[in-house]
Amino acid sequence: MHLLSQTRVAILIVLRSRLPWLSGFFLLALCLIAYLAAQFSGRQPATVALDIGLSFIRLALPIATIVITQQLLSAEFERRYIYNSITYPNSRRTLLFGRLTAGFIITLSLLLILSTALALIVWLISGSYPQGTPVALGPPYIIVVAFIGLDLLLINTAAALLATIASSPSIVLVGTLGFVFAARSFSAIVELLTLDSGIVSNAESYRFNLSLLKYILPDLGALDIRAIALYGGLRDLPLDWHWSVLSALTYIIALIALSDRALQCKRFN
Amino acid sequence: MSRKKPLLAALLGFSLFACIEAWRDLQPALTNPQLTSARVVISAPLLVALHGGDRFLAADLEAIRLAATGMDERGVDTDYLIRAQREVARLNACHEDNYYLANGLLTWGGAVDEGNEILRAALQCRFWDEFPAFFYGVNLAFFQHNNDEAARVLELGASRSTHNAAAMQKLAIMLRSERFADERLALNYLTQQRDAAADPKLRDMLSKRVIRLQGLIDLRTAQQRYEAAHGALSELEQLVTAGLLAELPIDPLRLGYELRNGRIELKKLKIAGLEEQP
Repeated sequence: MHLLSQTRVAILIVLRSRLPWLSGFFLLALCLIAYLAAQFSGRQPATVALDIGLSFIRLALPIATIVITQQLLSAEFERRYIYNSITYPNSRRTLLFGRLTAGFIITLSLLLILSTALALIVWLISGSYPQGTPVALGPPYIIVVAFIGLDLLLINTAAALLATIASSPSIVLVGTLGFVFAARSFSAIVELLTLDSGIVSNAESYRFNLSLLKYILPDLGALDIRAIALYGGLRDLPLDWHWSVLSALTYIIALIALSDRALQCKRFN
Repeated sequence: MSRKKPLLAALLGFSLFACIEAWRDLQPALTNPQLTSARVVISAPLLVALHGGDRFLAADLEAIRLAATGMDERGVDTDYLIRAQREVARLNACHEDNYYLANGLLTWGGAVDEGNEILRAALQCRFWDEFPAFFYGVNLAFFQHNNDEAARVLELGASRSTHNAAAMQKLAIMLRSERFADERLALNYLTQQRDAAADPKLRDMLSKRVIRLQGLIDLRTAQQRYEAAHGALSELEQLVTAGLLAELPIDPLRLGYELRNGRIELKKLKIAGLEEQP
């Protein structure tokens, strides 16, 4: 019961902040970017619109998540609301879990809104030019969006952990963005370095050291399976997709446990 | 008074700064020897890092950049396109615009190997798409005279295609049969392929080629008999006037036959500007 009321309060806090404006801006920007990107493609305008739109969603929503987390956790510590928030019957744990759940719900609803808008735009664009390989806006697109949702949940928990241990909200912004970029790019860079070894002097050791990151960071690049929606079919689904999902889920659980522990031990003074 | 001092100091600083810049403007410019280098192409691993770990976005933006710049005098040349399109192919080999542009701009613009490399990547990545197979097969046969590999690629394309399967199968069979110097062997080969063809469209197209080749064989036998009796043949009509043939065979492809260096050959399709190619 406490968890539910905590979640409700947290959602109200976010809705009263500037996030609705930010989401409106994201929606407009998404429509404009997808439409304009389609103009630059000769053979596959709908695919390019979908591609760029998904990229935009994957870049914009982590920022929204960070803003939400700053609002729900960092502001709490900074403005000393926490003394009120953890009075009986609320425990630190229900506070954290309520806030996290609220963050999840809002992020996922934002994802739902943006991805529906994108599907609509791409559907409009694909009506204007019949492509050789049409985009798949049915189940493949839903799967792609679900994977992006998982990616966002992980980013949300990472931001929550940083917010509980950090003393300033800007650390949440910088730290989470750094985490996102590193986790998304390292596997692709490792793979590309095998193709193009001329870029660094000692590519082999570089690649080895970079691949050690996979024991520390989750491979968010593997959660980007948009090829199935872009090129119309589940045939492009990577074979080890369930392992990627499982590893992301375990990482999420570990991060939640860690932030719970961090909040339990936090001293407020 | 003390409150105006910092303002005065700031004003002094800014005016000194402006004076120094004005003085430097008057000096003869110290120019380095002009380093004209080609347009920058960032390597694929770095592009991924620069685009926030998003290789699809990086590929799209690079493809848009190279499609929008085109060729001009400002450092954009085939060399730039070769490097840029290779990076896009590494980031997302399935990119349709990229392989299409690579075929048009690189392969037919002289960079055959580089264009084919991108087509080969697209052929693997887009395992449902017949067009990279068609382009790559035609390039292999036309530029590199590798008919075996070309026929294999075209058959792969035919297996992926629904509407063009017959045409591509036909092309593959023609490429294989051209290796046979002996036209009778080629005829056997073609007839076998025709009889084995399940697709009525393909069977029809192959029959025309069988009839065409049969006409050539008839002409050559008649030529041998004519030359044994009358000496060298100078015109095809002499075969009819000598009574060796009732009439000249009709080519169902309407290209016809010609006497080239004393030997009867199939007339080739003339494509403007391409006869001079090696």
